[in-house]
Amino acid sequence: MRLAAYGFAYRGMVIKQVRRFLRAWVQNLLPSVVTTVLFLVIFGHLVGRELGTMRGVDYADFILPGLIILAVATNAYSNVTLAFYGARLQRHIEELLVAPLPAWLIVAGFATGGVIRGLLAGALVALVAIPFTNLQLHHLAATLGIALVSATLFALAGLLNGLYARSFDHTSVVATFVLTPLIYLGGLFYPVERMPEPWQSLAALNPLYYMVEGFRYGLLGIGSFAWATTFWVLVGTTLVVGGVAWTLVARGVRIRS
Amino acid sequence: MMAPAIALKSVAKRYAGGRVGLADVDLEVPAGRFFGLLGPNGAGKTTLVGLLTTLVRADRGSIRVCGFDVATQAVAAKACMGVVPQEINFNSFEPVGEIVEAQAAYYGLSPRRARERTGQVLEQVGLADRRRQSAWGLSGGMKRRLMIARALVHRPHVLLLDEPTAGVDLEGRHTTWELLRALNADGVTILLTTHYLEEAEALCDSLAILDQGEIVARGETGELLHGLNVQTLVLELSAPLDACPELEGLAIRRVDRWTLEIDLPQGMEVNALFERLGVYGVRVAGLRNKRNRLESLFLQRIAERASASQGAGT
Repeated sequence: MRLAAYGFAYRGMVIKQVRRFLRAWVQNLLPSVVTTVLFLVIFGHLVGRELGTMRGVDYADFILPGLIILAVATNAYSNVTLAFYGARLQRHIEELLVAPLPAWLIVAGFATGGVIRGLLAGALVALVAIPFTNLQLHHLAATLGIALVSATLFALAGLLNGLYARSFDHTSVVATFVLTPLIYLGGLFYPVERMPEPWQSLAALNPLYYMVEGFRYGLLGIGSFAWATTFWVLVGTTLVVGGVAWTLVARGVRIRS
Repeated sequence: MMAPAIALKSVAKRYAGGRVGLADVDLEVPAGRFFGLLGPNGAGKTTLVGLLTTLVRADRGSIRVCGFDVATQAVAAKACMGVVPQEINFNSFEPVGEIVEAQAAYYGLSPRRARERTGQVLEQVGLADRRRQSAWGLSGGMKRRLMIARALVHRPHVLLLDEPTAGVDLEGRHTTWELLRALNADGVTILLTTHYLEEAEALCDSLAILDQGEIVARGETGELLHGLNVQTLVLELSAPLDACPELEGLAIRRVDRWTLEIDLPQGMEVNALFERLGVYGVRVAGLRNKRNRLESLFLQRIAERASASQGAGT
């Protein structure tokens, strides 16, 4: 009985989250698509023609997996950050806190909204890339698995940002100054093995490098290491971040007096 | 024996910075009561509601709602409560119906049942025709009624209302009163905090007055009002009066030639007052309380507490 009630509550939360970002879909979904098209036209074709191939594929094809996973991660992250911060700011987080919902369900509801937006943005980016690239699907399980777990990881990280943000400025700081640089330095535009030291060694410490490489393997069948390693590293990180988010929400940090 | 709907035992809350929210409060509200919680701003009313709903965490003490401990059995305790907070706390960009339906889902109602109940509660509060409209466009009073609808959607046994009629026009307030009376008659226990003392007097069968986190008076409404030391009456006279009459044991003030104010002590009947005034030729055309009786009681208890604190300090 309680399980069914939790199911209805979860459904209600997810519908609310999806409606929230679809109400402003131009603002929420289109920027990733526009950015990708610009990257593919300028770097993929105009500059890429001069660069030739990377690991045996056209440059546009080489950068596409990174652009897709960038869209997945940043959309999942910013969706939950803004949704959670907005709920705190306007106090409608109280709708959830006074209801008979355990903390893990509240975390799951917000995170799922972020995952859906992340995957939707990734799918749109892949779709608009078709005319510009030779889009392949080398390993379905690797592609979907890494996309899903990356979206979940970033959605949960976004919740932590939303929990601690004190102003709207704080909701974009981490995405702009931490996540995007880490993805760019994680081999999105070039093979990490071509980087000089110490950048090559530093890239090995960048968790987003594994995400980009794993996803690139899923789509193109090329990568520095086994995709399963990437997958389990991401699953482990997601469980840790999810555990932290659950603990903070259960303790009422920043949401209860 | 039936468990009280609400029970607080030695509950204390102190906020960061040292401000006292509640100081060792004991309170029981039996099931089925319409209970009023009064007090000046910052007295601890919203803190008490926050503690019941778990939005505020107690430093110590035990809090039970419908027999469930809110700290250890929070899910069960919250399932039997409906909450109308003081501040508007829904997403104003969402349509009215979606706000209520989502809350129904959070309480475990199936989508079909949630839609049905949403229709029913919006009808109850007079917002059925606004179901598809964004909450942004509602008036202040309508927003309050929307919060009441949201709190009722899962048929709670206990309804907590934190100043639910603040900013609501007279007609809306009376409609809300009727709704609350009907809910209470159906067995819903209601805890109401309000600044409108006439609202508390009209609705509540029992009351507590909070001041600086402590309960300074509590009991049945009628019993508390009976204990009022003095009530101030305003007398409208049939004929103008040039001088203020002097009656032993009564404080009389002449407001103007047509109006007197008299502090009537506890135990003295109005008939006796009229007889004594009649001796001086004073004829009364009309009579009213200067303040609502509950307001007088409220001010009296707060003043008693202030003088007691002053006495303790010297």
